[in-house]
Order: sequence, then C-alpha cells, then structure tokens
Amino acid sequence: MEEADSATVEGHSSALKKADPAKRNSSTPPLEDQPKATFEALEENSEEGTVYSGVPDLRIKGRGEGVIVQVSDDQGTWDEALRLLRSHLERAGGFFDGQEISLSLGRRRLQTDELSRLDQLLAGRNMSLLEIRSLNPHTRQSARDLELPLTVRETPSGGRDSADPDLVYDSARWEVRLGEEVPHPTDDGEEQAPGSNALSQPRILSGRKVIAKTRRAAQVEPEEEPLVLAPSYLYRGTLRSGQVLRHAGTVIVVGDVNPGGQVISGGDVYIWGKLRGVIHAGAMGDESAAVGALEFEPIQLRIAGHIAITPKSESNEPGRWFWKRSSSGKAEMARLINGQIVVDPWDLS
Amino acid sequence: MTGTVVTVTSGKGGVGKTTTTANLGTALAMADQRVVVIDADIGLRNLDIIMGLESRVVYNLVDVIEGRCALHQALIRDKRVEELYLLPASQTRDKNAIAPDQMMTVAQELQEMADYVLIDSPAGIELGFQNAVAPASEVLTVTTPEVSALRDADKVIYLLERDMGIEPRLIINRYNPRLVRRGDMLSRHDILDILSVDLLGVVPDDDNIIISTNRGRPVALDRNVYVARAYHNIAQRLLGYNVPLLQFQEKSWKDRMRSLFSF
Repeated sequence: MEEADSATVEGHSSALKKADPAKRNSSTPPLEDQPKATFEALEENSEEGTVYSGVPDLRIKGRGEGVIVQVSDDQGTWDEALRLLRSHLERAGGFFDGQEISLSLGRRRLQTDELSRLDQLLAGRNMSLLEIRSLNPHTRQSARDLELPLTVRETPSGGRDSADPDLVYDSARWEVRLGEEVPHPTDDGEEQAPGSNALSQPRILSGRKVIAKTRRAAQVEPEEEPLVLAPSYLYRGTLRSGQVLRHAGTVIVVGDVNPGGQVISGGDVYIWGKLRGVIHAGAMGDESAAVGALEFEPIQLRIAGHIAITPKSESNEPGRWFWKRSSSGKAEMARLINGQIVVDPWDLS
Repeated sequence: MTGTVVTVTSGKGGVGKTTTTANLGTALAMADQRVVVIDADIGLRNLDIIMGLESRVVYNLVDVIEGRCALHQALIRDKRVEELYLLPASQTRDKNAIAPDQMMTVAQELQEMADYVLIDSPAGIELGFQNAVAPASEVLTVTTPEVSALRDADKVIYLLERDMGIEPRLIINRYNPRLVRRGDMLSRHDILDILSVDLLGVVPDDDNIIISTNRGRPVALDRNVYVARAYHNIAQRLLGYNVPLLQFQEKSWKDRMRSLFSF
C-alpha cells in the first residue's frame, strides 16, 4: 500500500485538521448568562438610566458542585428578584440549604445595600456566595466594597470553564442527564424496510441501512420555560480524545471530532470534517435536532433521549474493517424519525 | 551552550518509550552529541536495565533532588559511547516523590552541560507524566499502530497542546509493514489521519530490539543491524536533517538466515 515511497518526513497535514488548536469563536459571541438573545455591545454606561420594569427572570440551576442563580439584567427590580428568590428557596424546602451559589447578574447595576440584602437572605438559609459574575462595573465595585467574592474577569463570550479543563466550551452550564441508566444500544443491525413507517418524504432512507435499533433512554428533563434558542457556536479545530464541547444552541465544528471527543448540544451538530467521536444533539429534549458530518463515523450518536451506534463496516477494504464504521464516503446526516435514528446522504438540494 | 530538553511520552504503557529513549540517546551520542538521558519513571524504573547500566547505579534522581548527592555523582557514563550519561530513577520511591519545578531545576542544570537531555516519561497522564514534560521544549509521542494506543496518544497530544502549548512529534513504534499490506494493521496514513501531528519516524517491529533490550545493549549501537538505522534516522531528523523514511521490506536474507540458526 505504501512504504514504497521515499517521501521525506514533512508531516502529514491537511488544511482541515491542522487548524489552529487555539479555537476562535464565531464573530457573534454566544451568550452565557442571559436567557434572552440580545446582542447589544457592551457599553458600560448603558445602564445609567435603566428602569427595571416587569418581572425579573430568575433561574436556578444545579451544576455539579454548586448552584447558579441567574438574574436577568433588564427586567424587574432587585426587590422583586429577591422576593422571587426567597420564594424559590422556600418552595425547595431545604434542598439548597448549605449550598454555595454562583450569582450571575449580567449587566444589572446594584448598590452595596442591594447586594448585602441578598447576602443576608442567603445567610439566613445557611447558604453562601461562591462567586459573583457581573458585567457591570458599579455592581463589581459594590461587591468589592462588601468584600464579596468576584470572578476576576467576566466576558460575555464563552470561554474555558476553569472547573473542567477538558471542557472546550460550555455556554449555559447545564448538565445533561440521560437518566439513571443509559440502556445499551443493540447492535443487531436490523434492516428496516424502506417506507415501512409510511414516511411521507420520499428521499428519506434512500438506500441506506437504518443504524442500530434505538431505545428510548430516560427522558431528559425538559426546561420549564419554553426553549429559547441560544445562538450557534462555531469551533475551529479538531476535538481530540478527552475534549468535550457543550453548548445550548447549535454547534458547528470546522475540523474533526476524534474518537474520544464529545459534542453535547441543545440544537443541531454539524461537523465539517470527520465525525468519529460521540455526539449528543438536541440534548435538552429537542427531537428535531440533526447531526451532519462530511465523514460520518461516530462511535455513538444521541438525539434527544435516543441513542444509537453505527455498526462496523463489513467491507473487505484493506485496513478498514476495524476502523471505519460504515462510512459511505459522502456527507451524511442523522435525524430522529419515528423513534429511530436514521442516517441519510446529506442532500443539499 | 544550552542543550535541548526532549521528553518522550505516550500515554499508553508498553508502547516503547523507554526503548526509544535509550536508542535515541545512543544514536544521538553516536552522532557526536553530548546526551543525558533521565529516567522519570520513579518507582518502576527500567531505563537503566535496558541500557545495561543497572549494576552501576548508586545514586538516583530523587537523591539529587533531595540533596543527598551532587548531580554529577548520580550520572552514570555509558562507556560504549562517547558522551552518553544516564540519570536513573529511584526504585524505592514513587511518583509523588518529586514535583514539576524540581524536575525543571535538574533539567536546567543538565541543559548547561549537555546538547540533549532526553527524559523518559512514565505512562499515564498524572503527576509522573507532568513532571516529565514540565522542563521539555520538545516532546516526542510514541505510539504503536493499535487503536487503544492511538486513543491515549490523542489524549496526551491534547493535554500537551492545552497545558504546554507544545505540539509533539510522533514516533510510530512496532510497525509491521506486512500486516499493513494485508490490511490487518493501521497504516502510517491512518495514524496521522487521526493524530494529525508531524511524524518524526517509524520504527519497525523487529526481534532484534527485544533481544538487545534483554541484553542491556541498545540496538542502535550496532549500525549494521537494519532496525538500528531507524533510530539513527530519527536522531538525524531531530538534529534537523531531512532524512527519507526507511523503505520497509521483508527481512533481509542475512537476518532470515540468522533467525534460522538462532542465537
């Protein structure tokens, strides 16, 4: 096959894979702390005349080792936010007691007395502030005056999550839980007769084996509020073994996903390269999510609460049988159809 | 003169880091470089064994760091080659015995007196590995053409890029051209396809390597042995020369005759 060449050792590279591992975010930075998709540029003086009307949007999220409380920065007064928080905590019973929380304030402007009322509220329940994340310099100063813990730098764009160094990007800091047991997908490679599900779109299942039977994993917890679509995230580079990319919205990777690499997305996942890792699309329960790749060979594929694997190739192509997984060499896309994950040629028409 | 610190890692154990370090160090020394090889596998040391210097070990790396001896007292000179020295590891301690900054101090001191400092990293990605790569300005990742070794190598490459900003160069070890031709082994292209790093060299799977390891005589010492050329080529490439990859064939008739009549 090779070795007959006397090629010099210049290194094997293709433009796609040699992308700079220092990832560059897309030009529209995804929002980390704001549930509403606003794209205003950061102006430090813009909150001078802000009148907080309406009901504040307050979210409490559990995340691994702590709790995050997010307060919207353009709605509702701080008093109302505190009232909401108090009632949330009371309704939760003792669930949050003793916890350290991360407080995410966006651009909301707060004085010291407002912050200290929060501190007292928390102290009353034996809770404490782990950190305050704020984009507003006045709020940050208030926090400093009260000697409350501030994160060193807060940027609206995504970045490394310092708590998990293998995490390439995590926008909303939610944890995806598939339930206590993830059933093992079967590899019986059952052939699904095309058209057996009375599919109305003729181009589905065109000559392509349905990949392994899927089983409904325990449902992912649905969001209580209607799903707000976070903007897409573009990652340039190859995801190596051990790297995880998590994002609430659609993810596009310009590069490969190596075996051992993972993408978890609330929306679609598109890999402009070779997909050889594990993808979870629609991770927050969106069953319409799709996964597409130029070379489609995932180890495992998950769409919403469904999970599937690709069967190994049976071709006699030398050097490939243990390596490639039914790759047809063309761009392909996977979608959930009638409870089954179906892979199709990526028809761009 | 300030030498270059090169760490040899892999992630997976048993792929040939120690053998590569020993042979590469020998080859560099035979190319008129002053070389110090450091065994960073504290607790499970074996670089001294495969270099045949085990019986001369008195002091080791941990002794130096903890101040029980001077650095030059712990270095063992390999008399078969000009200017090749070994700093052995401790057999009685474990990898928690030293910290990255201590390793850096030792490496810096050695850099002042040597052209190349090769550090043989232990397997894994924990403290032992971190100690070994801390002083490195260049890293070589060794892998064999198997999926599990590749997975670990990929992870190690990721960690090196992330934490040290170094992109390692690859050495493919135990390469079997016959199996590759049959399609039973991953080819060089398959491996580079996944790992996408620069290839420094390919070492074929050869009985002579194990034989020489057991004898404590790195195969690179014998230039007439075919596989030794792979190591010498890698040394040359490390020095900056552009050397074409070996053309892998079946064993030469001499080797086949020799294996017939055996040792």
